[in-house]
Amino acid sequence: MHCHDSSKPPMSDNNGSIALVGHPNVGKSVIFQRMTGKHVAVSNYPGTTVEIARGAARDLDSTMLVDTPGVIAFPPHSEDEQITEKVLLEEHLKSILQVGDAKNLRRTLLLTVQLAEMGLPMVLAVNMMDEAQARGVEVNHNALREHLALSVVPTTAVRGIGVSDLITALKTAAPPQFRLAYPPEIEGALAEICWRLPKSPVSPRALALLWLSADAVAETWLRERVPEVTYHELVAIRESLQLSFFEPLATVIQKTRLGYIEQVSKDSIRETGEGRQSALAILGRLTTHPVWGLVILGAVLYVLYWFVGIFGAGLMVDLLETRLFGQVINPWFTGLVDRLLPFGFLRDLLVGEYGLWTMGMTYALALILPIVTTFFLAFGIMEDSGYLPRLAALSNRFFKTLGLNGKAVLPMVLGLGCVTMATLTTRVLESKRERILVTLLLALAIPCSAQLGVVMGMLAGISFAATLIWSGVVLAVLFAIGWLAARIMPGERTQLLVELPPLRLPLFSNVLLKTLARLEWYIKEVVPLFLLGTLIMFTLDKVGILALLIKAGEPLVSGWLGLPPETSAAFLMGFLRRDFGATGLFMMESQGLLTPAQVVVAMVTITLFIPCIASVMMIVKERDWKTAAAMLTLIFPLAFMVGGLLNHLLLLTDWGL
Amino acid sequence: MKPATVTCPLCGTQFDPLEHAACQTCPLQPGCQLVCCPVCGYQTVDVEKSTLARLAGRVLASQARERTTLSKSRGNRLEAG
Repeated sequence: MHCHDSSKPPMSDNNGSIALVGHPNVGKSVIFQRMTGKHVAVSNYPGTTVEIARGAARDLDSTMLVDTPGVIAFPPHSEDEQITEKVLLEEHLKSILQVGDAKNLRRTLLLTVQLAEMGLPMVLAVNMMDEAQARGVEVNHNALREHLALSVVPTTAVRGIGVSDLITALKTAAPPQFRLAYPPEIEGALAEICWRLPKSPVSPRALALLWLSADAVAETWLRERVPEVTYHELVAIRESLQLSFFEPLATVIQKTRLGYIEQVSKDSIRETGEGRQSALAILGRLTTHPVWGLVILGAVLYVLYWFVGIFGAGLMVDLLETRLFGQVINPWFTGLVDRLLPFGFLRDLLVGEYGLWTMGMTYALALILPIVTTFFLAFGIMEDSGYLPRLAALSNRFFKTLGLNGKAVLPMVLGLGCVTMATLTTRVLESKRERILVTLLLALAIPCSAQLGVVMGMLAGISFAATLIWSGVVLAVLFAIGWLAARIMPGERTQLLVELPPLRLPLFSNVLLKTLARLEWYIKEVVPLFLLGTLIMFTLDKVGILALLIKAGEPLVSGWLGLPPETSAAFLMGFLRRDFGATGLFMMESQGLLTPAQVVVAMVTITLFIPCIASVMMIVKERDWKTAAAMLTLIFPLAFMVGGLLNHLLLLTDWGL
Repeated sequence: MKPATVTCPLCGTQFDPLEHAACQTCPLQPGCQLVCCPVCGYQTVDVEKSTLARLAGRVLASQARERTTLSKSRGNRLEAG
């Protein structure tokens, strides 16, 4: 049992403490609990609100154990991570106990290399061995030990396996005999820096590497401890070294480490398993291959297109919208309303052209629901099979050419689910440049799951070529804007570090539960918005503004985009939610009001719209209103410009007329 | 220590769905059944918060229990035979 007592001051140990360091959620606290037992003090780290637990290790002569906040790598990117670095730089440490996740060994090793460079006695606990084995991942800890020249102990802390070995290893822990060679220019700078550094708990080489990586904690630490002249000399060395590299020094240093880790991983990780597992392992490797990865992606998209487009938007929508709602529910409900409600206005509000039932509920339940159900099912399968991280790794190559890479890929992939939430997660990006750039690309050209479903449904009704034209144009815009923006706003680029789980057969129960949960969330969010949108359209129609807007939009919609004037109503609906507008277009297509070319033009235009009102609110919240206004000013004209250009191109080629 | 109940489908991090600070600032429905991974930001669903998913989960669990009971009773009959 833990005994948290924040009233007592932090315990100290004159012989030095042991720092427990590792990524979040790798089992540090479990190991801490097993080694310390009841006597634990939890207190805020001085000057912060970050809590740190300290406790005496029972079998290590009551040596103090410090449970530090989870850290991904250095330089730190959050206050919690900064505290971990402060513990390493400021506390009197006897040794470091790194807890790593056996399932995510590559990511673990990036931190291991950085900790080993610090030169303190160190032990690496490769934890969650049971889960790694269950996933068919075998870790050769002897190979790890040889490569890293430090004590490596396999553990399954939740069951107490390996904890006694860990205690034995900590008793004899020695500084790792490990030295990673960096490019000669960096090695030269390290030599220049090291002799200028004051005495520190970590090795001068590690401190110098932190300094070169522009680590904020190390910078503050040094500023407080070296004379002004020396500090300026250190700055000059770093600035002069930067001139030798195109990429930021932190990236060059990290790349060197990643190269080494790749080699260590090859010798230390083996995917086990026979038969089906082996075939899946091969397929898993192929999914990130530059050529085969694209072939597999094409196959995945085709299956998605068939399942969502042909089955969901074709067969299911036909059953629900045409037969159930069109022939049974809506005629019955309209008859009922006609009989019960004597007022024409109220009848129109419920079952008229812009009626809450005939438009709002029918769109939400008969048109969108079958499409998003099939899409969420397909997305759940992709998630549960472990394909999504592979898609991130594969698209990283593509995004690199845009000037974007690393963590920027994650919000873009996430945007395929919900652009609003993806905008929120641009917070994980390190530079302001990347945050703005990714927000813009998300708002401009990443369709969310619901819209993607409707788009696929509409295009599947025409031909696969229509889908290719739509995806080609949207990708071209994404590429062009990303490329241009990256050149207008040059800056630091970061690495993508994502651990690939083994590819596996998805579990039916997982996929089903996730799909149901997503559908419930979608209905709760979309139905009120669809009803609100319908009410707005109804009001505009009744007061005569809708007709004026359609007329005013004619030169743009009919003249430039080559679409029927009524399409303006769908674009107006698209201001509220892109998929609402797209559903209006879907309805027009099913009534035979649009030619194939017009469908493709309309879909491209509405895809390049702002995703929904919620995402605009999120952009204002996350960036500021000026940035949001600038983005909207760019996005709307661009959407119509691209749509119009495509219309004229299709007219020239006589496609889909 | 709180139990880690959600596994991020993108980066594999296991996290407590109660600690998803990013989602709490969402303008749509703070506290809805979607949660964000604290490491990579990936959004996934917390099936425990969804009524539909909870009901389906109970059905699946009861079916699994029935299958286990059935196979045990078959095993017992075989042993007795």
